[in-house]
Amino acid sequence: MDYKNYQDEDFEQLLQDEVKQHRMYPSDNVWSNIRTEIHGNQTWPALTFIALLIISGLTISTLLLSPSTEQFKITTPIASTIVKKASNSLNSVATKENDESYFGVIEPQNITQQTFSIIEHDQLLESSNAYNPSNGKQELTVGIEKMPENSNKVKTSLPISINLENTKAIVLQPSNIQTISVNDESEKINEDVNLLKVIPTNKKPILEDEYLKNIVPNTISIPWKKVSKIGFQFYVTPSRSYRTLSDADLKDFIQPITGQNANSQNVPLGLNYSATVNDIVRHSPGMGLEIGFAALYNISNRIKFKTGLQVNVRQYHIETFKTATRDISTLSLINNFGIQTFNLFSTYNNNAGYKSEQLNNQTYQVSIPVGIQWEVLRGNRFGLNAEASLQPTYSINNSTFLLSTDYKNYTDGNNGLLRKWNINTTAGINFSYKSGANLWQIGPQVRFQHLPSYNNQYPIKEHLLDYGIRIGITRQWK
Amino acid sequence: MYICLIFRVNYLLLMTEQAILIGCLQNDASAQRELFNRYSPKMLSVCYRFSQSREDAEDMLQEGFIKIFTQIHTFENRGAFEGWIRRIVVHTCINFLKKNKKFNTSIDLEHAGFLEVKEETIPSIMQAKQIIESIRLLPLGYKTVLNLYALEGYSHKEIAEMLDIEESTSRSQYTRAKSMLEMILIKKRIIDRPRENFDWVAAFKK
Repeated sequence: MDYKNYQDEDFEQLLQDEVKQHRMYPSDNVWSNIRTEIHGNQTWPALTFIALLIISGLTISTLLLSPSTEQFKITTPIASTIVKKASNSLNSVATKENDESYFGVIEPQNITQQTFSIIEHDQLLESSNAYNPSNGKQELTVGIEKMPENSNKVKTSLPISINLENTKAIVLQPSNIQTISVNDESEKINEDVNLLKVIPTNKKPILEDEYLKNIVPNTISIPWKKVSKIGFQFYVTPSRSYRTLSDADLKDFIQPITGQNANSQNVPLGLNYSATVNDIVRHSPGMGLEIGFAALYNISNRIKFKTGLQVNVRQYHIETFKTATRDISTLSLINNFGIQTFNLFSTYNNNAGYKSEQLNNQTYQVSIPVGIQWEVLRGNRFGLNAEASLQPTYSINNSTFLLSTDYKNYTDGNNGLLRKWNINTTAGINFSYKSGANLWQIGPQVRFQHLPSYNNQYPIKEHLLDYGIRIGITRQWK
Repeated sequence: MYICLIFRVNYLLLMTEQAILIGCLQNDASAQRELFNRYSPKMLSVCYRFSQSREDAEDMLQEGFIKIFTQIHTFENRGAFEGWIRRIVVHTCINFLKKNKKFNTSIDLEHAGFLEVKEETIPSIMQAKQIIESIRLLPLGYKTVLNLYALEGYSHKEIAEMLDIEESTSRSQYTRAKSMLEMILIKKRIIDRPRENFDWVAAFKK
């Protein structure tokens, strides 16, 4: 611009003309600060939700699994019967019935006066009849080892109402009684988990090896119903679908080349400053869903192998503008021979248009989860388990939109660039509740797609990420 | 045909701006982002002329856009939207300077001779940036008045009200600012020294 011979009043015009076209681009954190000031900090509700679930789950499970006084009481009918008989014959001292003293609770192995008071309860007498071999309700083998004749030990005078000639074992439940102290003749009876032993007359606590050698191991033979190792699970996971975008390849390989003739190629705004693709696109998460059916196999008491079939629906929303004309959308792809640029037509513009438009980027997938479920906590009804799985995934149908490599347009994503096979990982925690034969589960889950949604030619890498709440029901195979 | 095309393009741009405005009225973050992307480069340039540093300029811009988004409901669709935004940003800059009491650092015109300006030949493509940098070399009081009067189009009366000074002070500050800026531009060889028989005549190098 030639300002020769300008007059005094032209000075303002000179300054205005020079300054008018000047532009400066603010750093990224300016917008972040403005957004924070207006809308508050961007929160991640999933994290808070997961943390709350874990804390509440642990609290509930801790409360439910805490030791109760009930579990220390002698409730096994068989042992109660024996002790009942012993107490009758030895004229044991009965004490108050409902005295739950501290020591009685914490040392259930020792039969005390409280024990005798408990076992005198009428219910125990009734239950002893249930173990009559003749009634056929439950199979039971009971026996007592006959004492050696030269033994200096005194046989117990327990009038057990079973045929001693035909039995070899007395069935006792674990953790019931170990030592019986009686007043009469200062006899002590030591009953191990599987043994009924007789205390020698010298009042010493007995566990002599010699005697133990002569005792035939008395086995417990309560026939447990065999539990199947296989279970089946049906689950549904409503989720929130997010995505991560990375344009490192675009900046490293494509922009240095296409930037050489930037002026002639209608170069987008994105190339003019250092903003990344995440600063340019306007995406928002959408609702997704997983539905699956899985088989579980008990590897051990707490670990299960899990596999099955699962259908996933994932989507996120794209905010863009609809254009009246079909813009040229540039796709620069990386292949073995270098950079290959395609021009497609698109009616969706990222920067301007005659109306705003929301596109739904939807993906439908089938996957085969293969994983492990670990039972962390197990209560009577409530439990907590964690699971993780690897999922080979196949995209069966999709309605996706591809961002052009100049960031300006969105084009149809069904152009052969979409990766059909992918790998996902899922991890989650389930709170379980047992109701009859069914085990209900609910808990947070996160799912991540490891390979980019599009193949390696497309320089903008997209990884899908879902946060969901899994609701499932498991039933054991009979 | 050509006129129709221009009309069509203007219509599309107008609609888009209207959509952004509606979105901002609804406190929609994406519309606000779009508005920011569209006007922040120009407005940062304005802030930069008023500020002492780029950091200050970004702070001014940030405050300005927060005001824009929170007061957008006060915009009446009578004037240009950009003009309304620009007025808010300029007022924010003035308030920022007042708040930080940076007017105290102003110096007299006589001291301008001590300003060290490196003599250099500037390519024409760099002239805009160099002129802005030259304006920023001025003392704060001069710079502010010059920016408001010569570049933003405020009258001396309005400037006096904005800066809490006398109108005559604004006029004298502007005269001194202009002289000082001319001297800087001559030193930087952006303009030639005025000839003897003309007061404000200078020739610009290409």
